[in-house]
Amino acid sequence: MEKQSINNENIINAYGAGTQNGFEALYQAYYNDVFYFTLNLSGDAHGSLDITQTVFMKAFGEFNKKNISDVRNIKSWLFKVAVNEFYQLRRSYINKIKYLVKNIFRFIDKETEIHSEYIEKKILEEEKNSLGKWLLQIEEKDRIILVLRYYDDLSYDEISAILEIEEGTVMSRLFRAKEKLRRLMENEAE
Amino acid sequence: MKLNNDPDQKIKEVFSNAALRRQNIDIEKIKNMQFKTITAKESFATKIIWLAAVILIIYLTYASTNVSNGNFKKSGAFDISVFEELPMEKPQENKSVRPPDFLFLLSAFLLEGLILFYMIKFIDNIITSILLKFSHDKFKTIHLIC
Repeated sequence: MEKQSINNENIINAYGAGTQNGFEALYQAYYNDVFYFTLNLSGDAHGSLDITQTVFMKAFGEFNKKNISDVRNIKSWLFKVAVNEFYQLRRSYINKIKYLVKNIFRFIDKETEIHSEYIEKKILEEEKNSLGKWLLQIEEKDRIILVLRYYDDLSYDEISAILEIEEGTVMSRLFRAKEKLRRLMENEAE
Repeated sequence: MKLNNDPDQKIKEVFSNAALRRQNIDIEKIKNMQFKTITAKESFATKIIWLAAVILIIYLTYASTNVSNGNFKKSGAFDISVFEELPMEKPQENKSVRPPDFLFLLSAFLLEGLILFYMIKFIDNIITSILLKFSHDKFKTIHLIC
């Protein structure tokens, strides 16, 4: 897959043309964002890869149908789908079973397994005593906002649209999450 | 030990450091693999291949029970008469042996090809994964056979 010069305008133009290149531009531009976003939420590389793949499968489906109505907010749309997938995986028993079955098939699909293991190992090495560990100790709904605000650099307005909650709620949850993170960081530093 | 006076700044630093560290993690390979999976137009084709494989297996089972006694053209898929007792063949009779027909050979060939393809792919996956386990960075682009 060739690297392209990517900007939002390219994606929108390519999307308008409805070509495979358009989707590739979108994929190249946002794959890492979506993957690390879900990784920050779940702390699990395997699960994050699954969610990321599902998000882009949905995007590809919508892309082919030319159905993404607000293409200028494509990143927000992808994040919204990722959040929904994350919650679905956590809440739905069917999805948990699907996830388990998929994990069994990882024994067959060894190559994917090796790459997932590599990523997980690297991330654990990098973050065994820092962000990843702290994030998992923050309540899920607060963690999402913290990640969207500080890791993905989104505005209150965008976060509010992604999570479909009031901006005021975003601010109060963010405040709570920051307090918790600050305490964790202080405990670590002591 | 207390953190500096601007906790917001400190939080920003923690997140940006994490983002920087993650740039060293190579996720390109799995990204490309997932891209191929997502954009693969073979989902329908795969179904057709599997359907064909099932039909071939049924056909081969059917043909192999019939082709040897020359009743193949006579009997249908649900014709149980082929299971009925047949008159004993006389050993001295000069029976003309009917060679397997073209469709039978084609089916056998296709099915064997399909099985062979998946076997090779499976072996290739195993070898590749062993090499990747040995050294991910060295062999990340390797794929031996297919």
